[in-house]
Amino acid sequence: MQSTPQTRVLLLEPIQLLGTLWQRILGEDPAFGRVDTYTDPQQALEELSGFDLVVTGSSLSQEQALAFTRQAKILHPSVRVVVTGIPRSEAAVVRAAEAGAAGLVLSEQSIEEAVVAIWAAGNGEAHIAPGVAPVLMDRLAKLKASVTDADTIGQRYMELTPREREVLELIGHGLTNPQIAEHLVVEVGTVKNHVHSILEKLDKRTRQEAAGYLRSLPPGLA
Amino acid sequence: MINLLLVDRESHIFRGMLKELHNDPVIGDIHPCASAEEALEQSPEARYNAVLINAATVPHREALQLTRKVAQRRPAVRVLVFGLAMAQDGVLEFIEAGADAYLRGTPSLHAIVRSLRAMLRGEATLCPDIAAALMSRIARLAGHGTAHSSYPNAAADLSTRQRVILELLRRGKSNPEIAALLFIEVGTVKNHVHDVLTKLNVKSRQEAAAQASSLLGFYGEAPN
Repeated sequence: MQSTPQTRVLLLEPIQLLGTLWQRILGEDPAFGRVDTYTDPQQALEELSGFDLVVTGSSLSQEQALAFTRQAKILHPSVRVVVTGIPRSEAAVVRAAEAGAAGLVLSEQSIEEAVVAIWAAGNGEAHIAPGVAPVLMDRLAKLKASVTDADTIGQRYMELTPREREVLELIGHGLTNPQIAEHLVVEVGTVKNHVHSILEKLDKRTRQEAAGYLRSLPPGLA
Repeated sequence: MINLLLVDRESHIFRGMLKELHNDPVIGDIHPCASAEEALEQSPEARYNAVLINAATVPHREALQLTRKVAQRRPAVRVLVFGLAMAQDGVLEFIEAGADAYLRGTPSLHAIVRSLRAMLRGEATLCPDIAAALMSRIARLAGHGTAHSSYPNAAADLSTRQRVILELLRRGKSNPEIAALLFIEVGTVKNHVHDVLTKLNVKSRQEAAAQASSLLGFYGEAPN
């Protein structure tokens, strides 16, 4: 990371008055650079590329907040979304996390806690209340258990781009990154990016594991 | 009252810890086990509500296996793993296996007991870095937040909404699924899908999905 660049914040809050209050509070904090308020979700989505962080205001319904989060993560996977006004229920917390929220602020939490959550998300971290943490930990364990060995039809392989499949093939042949770079006539850095993305998508830790995954796919698929 | 299954390699630190734990008023019975294997062989009647694993002395694979088995076989029993390295991946691995709490490094006995009590109250402390990693893994395993570059804005002149629809098509979502994800009517989804197919000049959603993948693949080639 560079020397703490200021986080550019987009606030999505349909009620103008609340948006102004948020803007004042966050505007005072030197951690945040540009802070803009939008009242319309669709317009906010159009302008998303100029921001690092989104805060969905608590006057949005949870449905609107989730729909917005999902779309934001599709259009700009690197944008971090802090969802506020989450009711204290396991289902609500899990749904927000699954939609791709980077920070969660429950409706019972204070403005100070909300600012800490937003600040953390700006740093690529997350603040999760001790009472909420077990819900998320449980959910991760369940999701993990459900996807482990459930990929017999190569669903994750389908997630790979054609170029990534090519790189995976070469990894399967035991080639190193420089060798792959030479083979494909691209920079080693580009190969590294591909490998990183492949491991992410296949949910593997090492290239050996990725190669093993490739071998485990039914013939004809890869 | 906390009845513990303590899994740790026999050592003087372990014996010292055992003695101190015995003196703690919230700790009831302690069943010491020198290995994960021994812990798994504990008879089902052994009454404990928490398992404490020292990841610094128990081999990694065994500790992980034990965590997984306890989570599966005795879901009411809580698992605390301590002595973990700082790396996020290692911690996440244990959470994925079903650990209810973790402590990195060499925690004091006081810290361990405090964590045990919080754990049995249904609370857990997540470090900010672990919490962030946990959130993004949940999103990824749930099928969202897939790590890829943004669509090139000019992609076939699609609107923001249409680009979202195209990506969901690429992920193989049906119209009702898309409607549920975006909280809109199925009829509205159909209109959007129709517009996307028209703009991409393709006949089926499968073709659109394939074109989306190649758009992304092409974009992936561009220097960052």
